[in-house]
Amino acid sequence: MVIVVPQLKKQAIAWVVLIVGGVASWILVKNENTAASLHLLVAVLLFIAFAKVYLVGRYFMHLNTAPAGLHIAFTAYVIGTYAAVTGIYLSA
Amino acid sequence: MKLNTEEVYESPPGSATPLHGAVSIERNATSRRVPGEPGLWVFLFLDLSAFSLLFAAYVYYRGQQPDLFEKSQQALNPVLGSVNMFLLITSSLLVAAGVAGIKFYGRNMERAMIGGALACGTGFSIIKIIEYGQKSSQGLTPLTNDFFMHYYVLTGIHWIHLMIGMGILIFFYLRVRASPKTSIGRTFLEGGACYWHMVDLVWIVLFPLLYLLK
Repeated sequence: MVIVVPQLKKQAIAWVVLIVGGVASWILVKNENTAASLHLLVAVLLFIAFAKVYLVGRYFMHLNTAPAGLHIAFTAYVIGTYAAVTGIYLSA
Repeated sequence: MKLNTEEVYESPPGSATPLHGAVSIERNATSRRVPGEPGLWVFLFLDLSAFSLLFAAYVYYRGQQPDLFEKSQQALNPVLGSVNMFLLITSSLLVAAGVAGIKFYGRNMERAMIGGALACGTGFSIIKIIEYGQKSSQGLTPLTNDFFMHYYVLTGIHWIHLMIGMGILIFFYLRVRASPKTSIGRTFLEGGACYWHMVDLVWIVLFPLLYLLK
């Protein structure tokens, strides 16, 4: 009897999205010469990275089934770190 | 029965092998629980916060010497960094499958998945050694300039975390192999898995910062 575990399916989908995000980052950087703005390119690059971080936390670290407070704290960490790193880069 | 919440299958009491007669148990908002244990998350957040400071410091100092950092970055191999990214993301999926395996499919599944994750971690380490070897053969050391100081410190600290994570996975693998019919504790397993996922997500940020940032 084969049992399909819903959580594993979500994690497999998250893996695919993580790989696609990595490919998207490559394409973004390879096309930097045609980018309208280098700052915008970097902001998007870092957004992809931190979106991937959120996916790992939500689906691999099981924060989607964790108490809301823990999920919110992790989300705040991701957003806060993205904002800080991007803000420092843009202000240079 | 239509479920609008996370559906969880629990094995019958006493079963330790691929389960039969699984019973579906609805998990609702009131049955949410902390993955691993709360104390572990205090540690994880502190560790992640430390890495956040390192990320911010790197970007700050990069802004002070953009030409130096840009030129030095050319010496890095983003292909190797991307392969490492793939290895760690895949290892996270394997660890997650291993955690699910101990609950739903039995010990053999868990051993296979954790063994796969260990192989990915070993691959990452081999690539890291190759990278460090290539850099040092070119005379690029932590003392070369600020970029390489940051590169070696950031990747070195991450690598230490990865090796600690591999130690945890080796412990899981050996415990399961030595005692295939006993439980190593869902809390311990989930906690160790969360630590490994943290190692993964740190590299997810480190790679674009060091290898791709323009």
